[in-house]
Amino acid sequence: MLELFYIPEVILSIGVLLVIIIDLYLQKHKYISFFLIQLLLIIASLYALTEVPQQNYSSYEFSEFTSSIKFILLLGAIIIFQYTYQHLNYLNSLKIEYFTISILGLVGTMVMISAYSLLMLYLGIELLSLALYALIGFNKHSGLSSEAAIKYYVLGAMSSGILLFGISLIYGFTGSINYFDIADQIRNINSTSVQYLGIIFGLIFITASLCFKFGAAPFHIWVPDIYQGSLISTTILLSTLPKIGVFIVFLKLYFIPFMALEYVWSDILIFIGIASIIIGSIFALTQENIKRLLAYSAISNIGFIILAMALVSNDGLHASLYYTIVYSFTALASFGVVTHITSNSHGIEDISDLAGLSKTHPYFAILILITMLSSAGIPPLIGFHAKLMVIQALINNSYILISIIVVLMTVVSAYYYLRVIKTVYFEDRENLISTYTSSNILLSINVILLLGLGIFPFILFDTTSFLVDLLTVISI
Amino acid sequence: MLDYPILSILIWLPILVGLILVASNDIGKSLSTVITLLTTLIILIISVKLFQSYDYSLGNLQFVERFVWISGLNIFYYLAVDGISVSLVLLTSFINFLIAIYASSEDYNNKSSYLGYFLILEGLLMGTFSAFDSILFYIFFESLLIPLFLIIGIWGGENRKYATIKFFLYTFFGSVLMLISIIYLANLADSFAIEDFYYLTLSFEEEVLLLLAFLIGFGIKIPMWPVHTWLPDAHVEAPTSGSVILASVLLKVGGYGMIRFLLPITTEAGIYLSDYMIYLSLIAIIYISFVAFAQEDMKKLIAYSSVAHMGFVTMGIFLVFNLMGNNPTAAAIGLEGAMVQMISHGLISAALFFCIGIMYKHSHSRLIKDNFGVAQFMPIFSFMMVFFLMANSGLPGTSGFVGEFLVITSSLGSSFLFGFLAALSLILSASYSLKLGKNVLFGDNQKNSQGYLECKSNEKIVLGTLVIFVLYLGISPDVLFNLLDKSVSDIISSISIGKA
Repeated sequence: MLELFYIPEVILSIGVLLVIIIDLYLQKHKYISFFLIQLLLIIASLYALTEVPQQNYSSYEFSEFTSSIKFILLLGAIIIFQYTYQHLNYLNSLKIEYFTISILGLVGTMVMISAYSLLMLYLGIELLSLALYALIGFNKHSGLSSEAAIKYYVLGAMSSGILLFGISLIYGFTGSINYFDIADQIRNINSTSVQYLGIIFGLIFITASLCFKFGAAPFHIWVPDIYQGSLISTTILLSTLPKIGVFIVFLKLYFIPFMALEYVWSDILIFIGIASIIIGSIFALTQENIKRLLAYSAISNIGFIILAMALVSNDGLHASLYYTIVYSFTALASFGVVTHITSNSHGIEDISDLAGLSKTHPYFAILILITMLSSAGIPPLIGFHAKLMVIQALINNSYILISIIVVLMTVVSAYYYLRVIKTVYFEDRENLISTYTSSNILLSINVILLLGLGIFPFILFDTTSFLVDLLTVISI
Repeated sequence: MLDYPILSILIWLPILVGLILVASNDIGKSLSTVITLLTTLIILIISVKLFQSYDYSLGNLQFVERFVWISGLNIFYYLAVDGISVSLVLLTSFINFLIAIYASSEDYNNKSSYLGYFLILEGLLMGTFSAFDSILFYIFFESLLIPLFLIIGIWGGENRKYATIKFFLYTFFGSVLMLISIIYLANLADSFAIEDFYYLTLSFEEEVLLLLAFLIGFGIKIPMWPVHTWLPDAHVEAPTSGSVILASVLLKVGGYGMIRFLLPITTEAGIYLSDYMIYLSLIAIIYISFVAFAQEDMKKLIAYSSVAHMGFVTMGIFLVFNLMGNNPTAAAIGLEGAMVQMISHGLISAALFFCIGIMYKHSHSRLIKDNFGVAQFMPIFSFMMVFFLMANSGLPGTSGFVGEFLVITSSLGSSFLFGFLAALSLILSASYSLKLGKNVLFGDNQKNSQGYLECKSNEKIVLGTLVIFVLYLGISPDVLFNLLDKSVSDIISSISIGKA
């Protein structure tokens, strides 16, 4: 029992409480608290790597797969916090609470990933959501921020309610909340019985709620408003860590307890995937606000992830995992670049704020160029390989028509990414653009990896195929 | 065979130097000029070396470099060349060297980035012409858009934003359909190597769909009528060197792709649809020639003339389908004609865009009505421009004649009407070329034309070299034939394999 004490979740929770107390005495030296937080994350990530795998899945899973994902999450969090710290410092609104709340959300995400029962899943999702409500409303001086927080709170609470309703249906009809037991029950139930119908209802409620959390169409309406209202550092967090968490929840939920209902959810997810790609691509065309643009871009990327997963095949799973990691990485880079730039001494809001960036700050212009081209899926950048894998999985499973729709939408979405490049490179300067550093090593590495992994894609490819192998062991 | 990876050097050396130039961010005009000149010269020497050591009596794939790249997806880093590739590699390195010479006396904002993007483009073009793994090919093919997009967008004319986005989206649209076809074929063949696609047995419906996808992909790139409208816009807005590389090498990527993918893979469907595709080419040749005649902008005129000339390339390629069954010799002539036309158009259109660029520097207008009486001030330049205009209209003795003559000969083998209509081009192209020459060079109105000065020595070198090569290929095209013969007949025979 003692080794449970050392899991990253516990370390983070206890550490965060300590940091909150320490911070009370260090109001003038916030960088110390921040340093402690980063140290905490590094320690936790090391523990995530060395975590002892246990094969006892009562309601919480410890396996090589979950710990690898947690490691990736913690790594992402370290990078995000680094960007956030500089951004908030520059805007004079640095508060250590921002990071402590984020860490609580991170713990929630980790609980979601490890959850092996529906109740644990609910706990994780709630912990994450509560943290996000607070983070979105963090910018007290902005009306948009408060509006976004309230919107997300109301909608989020409703979707949690729907999730709970689905969970109780599943519990009522199978008598269990444990993933394994549910899978057993479903396999043994007669597919014409009322019980079976109830389970399908439960599954659909859960799917709707999770798609809301994922930000997939047609449950996507909140995404652009919330992205726009929150601080850009919150937007980075929103668009990366919870997405990885919800993706893993999707994987585990559909491939363990509901695997026998594959014929039900596969079609639903394919529809949701296609709808997200189309809506994300087309609605982004007219956006002027860069956060809204990236929000729609996130929706269409999530469509790709869901679509690949819905194929229920090994290459589809691999493609979706690969895509998730590449997407998070690209989102980190593209939002990361934007956090570094200010226009007329406020944060970047509209695309036109970036006009003429290449003339004054060629370094940041190149970073934007690479991230945007990677998001558009232009080779040789990593985004191309991710899209390639999804399309290949689609074609291998003979979804030719869908693959044609998907690539046409890629062309549509290329337009808005090109618009950003056009503004940065081809237009004359309108605003006083400034940055707080001339360059940033972490950001450079982040962006160069988009190019480097694009030329040497096998590095990431081998890692994810290793992860997928771990995953298939679990689901069997 | 050589014991060093010559193709990888051809690809990665310019890309690396180009990236360094771009990243160094304006290291000084003269230094970047010297670096670019040296790099392009080295690349030219290496490609000549490649040409010399290529054994054209065999005609097969040579200088093969093949390594696993992404093992899980079965994608290889697979480079090789045959005669067709070698000729295009030579064209690429030659034109890029000329661009480097031409740009040495030019002044641009941030010149090192400008030249750097051209070097990257050169490397990617080399990769496109030598990749024999379809995904690798696609990656090079698609990456070409990035440097050209930036070249036109940053250093282009007033309406550049519209032109670049149109150009990018048009070609991107075509190529994603091609990507789907490639993955579909690879799924069937269980390999991404292009030559493995040749042996697939496909149903007729599959072939028709694949043919359409490839036709859209490469047809936009070449470009064929009716998807050519991005080209005049891109040309008008591009800086001179951008227009040169676009017309002389980038358009050839489309033709090259057709020869590699369309001909051998979708043969059955091609034979069935060949008449329609030849009609499209004839529309390009005749209708676009009239459009060219009506242009008032010199660059647009040459751009439309390019579309018309590329009509001969597509016609030569599609004639293969038409003639395959009954007259394989005529089919080979058509394909060779298409290849020769590509190389020759690469030289002539490059020369004409250089000429327009030189005039534009003095008159600051691309309109025909703003440029007149140039011959009085620039006699040597005017002599060479007249020569290129003649070559453009297919004057015997220049390379422009050879390709058109071969394609027309081959089309006569198919039907008299095709031959007759294609031959009309000789009159039409002469009419717009001569109109341009007469109005611009010899117009007698003298006001407003005082700014012209005879071109600088580096520009004379560029144009003079092009004159020599256009003449040389016109008088003794055997060099090209030797290089192409075996590879062309290989392609024709692999088509028959696909058919069997």
